[in-house]
Amino acid sequence: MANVASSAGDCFSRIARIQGFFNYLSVYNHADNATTFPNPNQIEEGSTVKVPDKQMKAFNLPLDAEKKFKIIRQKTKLRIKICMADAAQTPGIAKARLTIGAKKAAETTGTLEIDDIDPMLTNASLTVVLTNPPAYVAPPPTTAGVANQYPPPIVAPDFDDPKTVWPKEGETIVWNLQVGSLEPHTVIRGVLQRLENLGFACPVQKVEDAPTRRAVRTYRRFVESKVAPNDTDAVADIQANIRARHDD
Amino acid sequence: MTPRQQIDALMAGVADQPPDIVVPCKAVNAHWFKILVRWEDDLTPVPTANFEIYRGHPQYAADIVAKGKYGQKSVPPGNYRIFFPNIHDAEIVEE
Repeated sequence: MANVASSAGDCFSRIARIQGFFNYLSVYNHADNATTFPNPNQIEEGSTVKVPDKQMKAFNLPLDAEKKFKIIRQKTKLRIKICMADAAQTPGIAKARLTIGAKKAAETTGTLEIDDIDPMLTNASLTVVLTNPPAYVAPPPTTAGVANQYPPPIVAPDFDDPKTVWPKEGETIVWNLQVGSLEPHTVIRGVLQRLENLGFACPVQKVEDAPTRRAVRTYRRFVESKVAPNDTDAVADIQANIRARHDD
Repeated sequence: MTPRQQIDALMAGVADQPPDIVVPCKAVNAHWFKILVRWEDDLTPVPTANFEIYRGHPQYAADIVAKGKYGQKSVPPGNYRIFFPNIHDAEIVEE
């Protein structure tokens, strides 16, 4: 049995392919891998994956006959779902195109899928052409905060700017996707990656500091309408919420 | 244990010279075999797969299945075994 240290962009499909397996389950179901990594597509960078030794099997080869074999493989899929930041609605899409390696998928809906991608590829491109820009809707006034408090508490509407310039009809947005690089939500880097994906600018790192705490506070105020002094800023405070919002 | 060590261990107990196939009438000295390797999910041919064939203990052939097929004619009689050194045993089955 070999121990393999995972690097950025690794998932079980990729590790299995590098180690010469056709089915990622041959590695994932080995030893305590499935317990250590509940999601085979999310591996913390630097963690150790246990890879089994290959077992050889001898087959009898009859003469004057055809001998047929089947190799059991597990294809690697890439599925992208496009939705608004609140995950409740799909934006108006004229066309969406997903490209990874030489494979492409084009749809007019918010879900794109490519079967059988090369697990060694870690970069993909998503191009979206919009139909109608989303109309600005002023958020409802919040009752949070305490009257006559100084300084006045920051509440959710303070982050919304009516002058926001939304993409226009026919405008194209291109995202470069780092396939397989999302880490579990249970580690700091995983939470910070999700924050960044959702538009809350923060450094993706292994330790918490002032910029990460600021991003967490902003997220809690925006998403959970938490206001001071109830808006704690530890990454652990938003783990479950951001996993549900980002992953589901 | 590496695939090579495993193959050597499996073949260690096999006799050097396999018994010839006993046929009731006229002995046929030229045989053939054909190997087909496909993916289990869509049954399309596997592009390449290394294999080793043993006749008794000594190695008879080591080659690559290309586009899912390999065949050989004029094969001497005997008992043959085939290994796929790059394929894990849980990932390959006989049809």
